[in-house]
Amino acid sequence: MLKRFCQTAKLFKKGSGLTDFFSVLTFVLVIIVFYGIFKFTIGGSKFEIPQQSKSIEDSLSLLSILRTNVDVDNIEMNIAELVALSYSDPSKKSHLEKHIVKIIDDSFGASNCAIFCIGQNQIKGTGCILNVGYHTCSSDTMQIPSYDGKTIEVSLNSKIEPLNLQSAP
Amino acid sequence: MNKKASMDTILNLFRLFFLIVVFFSVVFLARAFIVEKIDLFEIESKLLNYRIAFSDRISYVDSDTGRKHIGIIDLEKFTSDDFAKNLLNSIYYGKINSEASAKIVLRDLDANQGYDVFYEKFYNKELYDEKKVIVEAKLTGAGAAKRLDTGFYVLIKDKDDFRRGILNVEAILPNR
Repeated sequence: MLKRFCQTAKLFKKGSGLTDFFSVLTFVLVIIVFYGIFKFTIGGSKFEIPQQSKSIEDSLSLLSILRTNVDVDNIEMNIAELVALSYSDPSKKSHLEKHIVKIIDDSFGASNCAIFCIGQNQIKGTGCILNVGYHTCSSDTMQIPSYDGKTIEVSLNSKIEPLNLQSAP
Repeated sequence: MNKKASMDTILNLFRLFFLIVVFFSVVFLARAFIVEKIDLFEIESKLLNYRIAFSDRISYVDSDTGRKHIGIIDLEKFTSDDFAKNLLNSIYYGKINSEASAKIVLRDLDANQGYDVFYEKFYNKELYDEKKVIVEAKLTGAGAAKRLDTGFYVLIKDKDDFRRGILNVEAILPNR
């Protein structure tokens, strides 16, 4: 079968054997060169699914912070109640700040900056550098009802880096 | 005649050079759009950490309502002897789990014993011990593994008492 095929091919062959040989050689070389270039050239991007989960950690930590029981003038209440109380009674704000800073420092470490936001007011942990700008409060907020029927938005932003602001020349 | 031949050679060299430039440009452009590796480690390890932290085998579940309180760790469940087995059945990666492992450390911040109190548990301890050595040796590539830590501020429910704590989940996943 193969012999017959070769004989038939010879009948139709117009170029010389040398031309055929070089054509095949060129084709093989082109394949090898392409393979080599695709294999060894630098390139090909690496695709990383971005980490979008920091807000989940912060939300869970925030939930636990709001549930934490604290002692305020010999009355036990949780942070959520203290937030609502300090909203209508500003004298309780110092208690609130003291307790929140302690919780933030214990949980995130005094070397990491974490910010607890009540509305637009920020309570910073001791890890935050003074007079340095930080990102604004997280957009993932929880709502606490105040005693006058309003809602207070609270959020937590943990382990944040200072803004890299440069003054204009 | 010789001059014409030499001009042709120079022209051919230019053509060849131009062809090579075009050829390499096409190759580099094509390769720029080929995604060779998709790194899922971050998302996979975070997912495992969240599955552990949000698991009902770890969280306090109200027996009357059946409600699961995320972020409140039931110390009785956490310190039980069946904890590792229950968690392994709950977070299922197949009969032979060679996909994921983790160390779970619960730190009691209000223990009042003059020193830090830790409770240490494992998810798939065999794989964790095997891969931890590789992670610490900082080996890379296939067969190696990577580690990711996630910390949560939680409350620890010890009978009727609620104390502050930190739940730290350290996931170790083998490379693929």
